[in-house]
Amino acid sequence: MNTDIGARYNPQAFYSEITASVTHELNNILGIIEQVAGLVEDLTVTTSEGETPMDNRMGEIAEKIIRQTDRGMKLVKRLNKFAHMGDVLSGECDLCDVVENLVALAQRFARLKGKSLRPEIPDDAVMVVINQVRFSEALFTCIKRVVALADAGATVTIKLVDSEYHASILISAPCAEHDPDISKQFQLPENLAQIVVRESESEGSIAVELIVNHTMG
Amino acid sequence: MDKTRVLIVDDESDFIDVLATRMKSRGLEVDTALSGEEALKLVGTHDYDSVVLDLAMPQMDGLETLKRMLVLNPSLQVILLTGHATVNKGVEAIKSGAFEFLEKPVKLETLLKYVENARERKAALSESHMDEMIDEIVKRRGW
Repeated sequence: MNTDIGARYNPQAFYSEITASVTHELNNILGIIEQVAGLVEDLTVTTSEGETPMDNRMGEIAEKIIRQTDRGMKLVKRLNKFAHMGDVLSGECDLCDVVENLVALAQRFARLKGKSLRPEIPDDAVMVVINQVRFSEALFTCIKRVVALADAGATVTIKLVDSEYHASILISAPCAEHDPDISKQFQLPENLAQIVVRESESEGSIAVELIVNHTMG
Repeated sequence: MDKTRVLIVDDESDFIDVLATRMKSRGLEVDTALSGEEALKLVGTHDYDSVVLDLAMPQMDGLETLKRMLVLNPSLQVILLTGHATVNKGVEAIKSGAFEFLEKPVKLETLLKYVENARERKAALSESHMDEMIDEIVKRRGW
């Protein structure tokens, strides 16, 4: 699936899209660290013998290195978790964990469209038996859809709520004008019998709800 | 020789801060912008020898910014930087009028070579434009 919501469904494209986006961001991070390392080298060369570079400059540089390394490490952990989703075809997992990881990986898509994602996840685990890959793909498709329709600069909320028989993930955002043509193009991955999608458009907002049964039907 | 004037455009503030510091320490005059919109305002009021422009930015991306910059200043030399270069994007960038298309992370010395080449190209274009203007005046006046 391309970033274009209306594109024909392609099951492999989901992995490609997430991986391409994250590696792109990792390259950005490496680009910053590379420049910061170069700056340290510049300072070492320009500082005359026996003299130490100004403490505040070095502190600022160290802060940048720590910030970017931390950002890179978190991203690598998330990508690794994402890559391992396919290890088990279907099994018990904490939905909070899966949603939180996918939302973090999807932040860049929203950011590039001038929007942001805010997960609202319960403190207690929500255990479900699910195919994580298929679920994440459906969630990602829904997030992209709401991001595409949301107002400029909007925050898209992804709220996970658990109940006795199912968990629901409500993806909502302010949306002043609905485009009926875009609505027709919404296409979810196939074979998602366990997941029900409800779409609603009330005045000034859009919402897509993913409902996940606690066990496979 | 005048200082080379460069504009760096990227939404990563850490990246532009450090790159600008390093370029300045090598004698370049550097301005920075965190978005395409901010960059267009600067291009409209300053004469840069080259622009180092990130491809993936929120709202207005690098290609759109590039196209709008060239409308404002057709002789502007723009070096596009990207976190993940693809052949398609590269071809699109060059077709849209980019001077060069580079992948991050890029060594400063490599980037500076392209900045210098961009400055030379801009100077050559300005010279040829000046020659055309002189020819035009000579013809018009019948000298």
